[in-house]
Amino acid sequence: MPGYEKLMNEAALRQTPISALIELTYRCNLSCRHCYLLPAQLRPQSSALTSSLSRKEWADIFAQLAEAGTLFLTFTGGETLLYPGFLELLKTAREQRFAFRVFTNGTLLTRETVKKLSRLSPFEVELSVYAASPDIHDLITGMEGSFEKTLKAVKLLKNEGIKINLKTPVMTLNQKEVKPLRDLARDLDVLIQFSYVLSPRDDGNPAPLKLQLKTREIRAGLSRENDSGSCPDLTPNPGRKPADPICAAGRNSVAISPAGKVYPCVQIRREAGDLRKKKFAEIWKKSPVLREIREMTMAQVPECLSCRDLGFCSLCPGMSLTLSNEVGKPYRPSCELARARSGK
Amino acid sequence: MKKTGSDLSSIPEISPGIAFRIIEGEAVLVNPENKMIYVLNHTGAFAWRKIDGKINLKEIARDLSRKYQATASDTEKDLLELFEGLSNRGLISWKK
Repeated sequence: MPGYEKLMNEAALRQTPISALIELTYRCNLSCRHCYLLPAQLRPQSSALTSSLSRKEWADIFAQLAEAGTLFLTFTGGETLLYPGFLELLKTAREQRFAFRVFTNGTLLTRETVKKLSRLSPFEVELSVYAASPDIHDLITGMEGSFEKTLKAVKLLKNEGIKINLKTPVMTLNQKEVKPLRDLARDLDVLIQFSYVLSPRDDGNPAPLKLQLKTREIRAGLSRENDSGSCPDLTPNPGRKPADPICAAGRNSVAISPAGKVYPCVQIRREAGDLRKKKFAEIWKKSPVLREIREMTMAQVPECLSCRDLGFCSLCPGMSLTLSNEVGKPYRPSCELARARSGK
Repeated sequence: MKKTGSDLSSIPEISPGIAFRIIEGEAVLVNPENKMIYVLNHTGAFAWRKIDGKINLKEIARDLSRKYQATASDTEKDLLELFEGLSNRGLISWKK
């Protein structure tokens, strides 16, 4: 998107929360094997459901975010369509002139829902697709028939002219699916993005990492992403200095949980404040947690700073914090990807 | 630039799908149709904030020239050019 990166960089310098991730619900009708949410959070009757913010509460929070300069909202879950009155909430966001993305597994989208969604001019809709083979996709989601439902949703969205991004975390279970998925996306005329770094569960449980690919396997995946069949030559990112911030969490973006807890980002589960108790502006300006995250610099990750693959690394301190509670400890799956990208 | 047939009596209104925010005096506009982002400087943002589907360009130009102490003729010329650009990019439409 033209100008997006520049806008985000300027927002980070100004400390404007231009983008907010809205976790509407932790409920989900799928049980994906690699999911970072805790299984208990995903259960329909969990406490996370009973304490979820109402539409009225969200509308008030949206107004506070607009006042703080937020322009982009990303709605995620769980499964966003399980939030009661989801489309009405999107209408509220639209009326407040936000640009919004929707993350969904697509299985609950109907023709009627898609038509209503289209009228709200979403910026884009992102759907997770794990394989071009229904058996593998369904194995990962834990729901028989989920592939067909998601594929149907993609076609419905496409027919309505909604911009679609398919997302595929590549893991041990679907590593052979990169090329078939690329072909499927081409046939559907939609974008697809592959990712190769899995997250631990929010409580630090490393269970999803059993599915993480090693460097050699990631290189094979990268090479299947393009027609040449070889791993692409990537240009490394510019060098980083010790005083540089590690990432933009809490500087241009923020995450809000279904119960109104504010986090620096979805990977850094350190509560910066509770929107049921405080206004957003107060949390954004005064939270010690946000201040601490904003002050994190590359000097705190010396092993990464001196790593020869740093230019190819999507360094994420949140992953390290979640897994080991140490920001300075490299997150090994990121190291695997950086090594695969560097070709060393 | 393509002419849209607007003049100082034309009344602009923000197109329905457009997302925007005023940030530090600048207006950041997003058109979800083409995924383009546009940034208006302080003067442009002042004019953008005046759009309410009721007042015409002449009135917006009057407020603008008062605010920035510019001549009416220069302001009107610049404003027509700005709003033609906004219209051509689908960010505003003209009220019938």
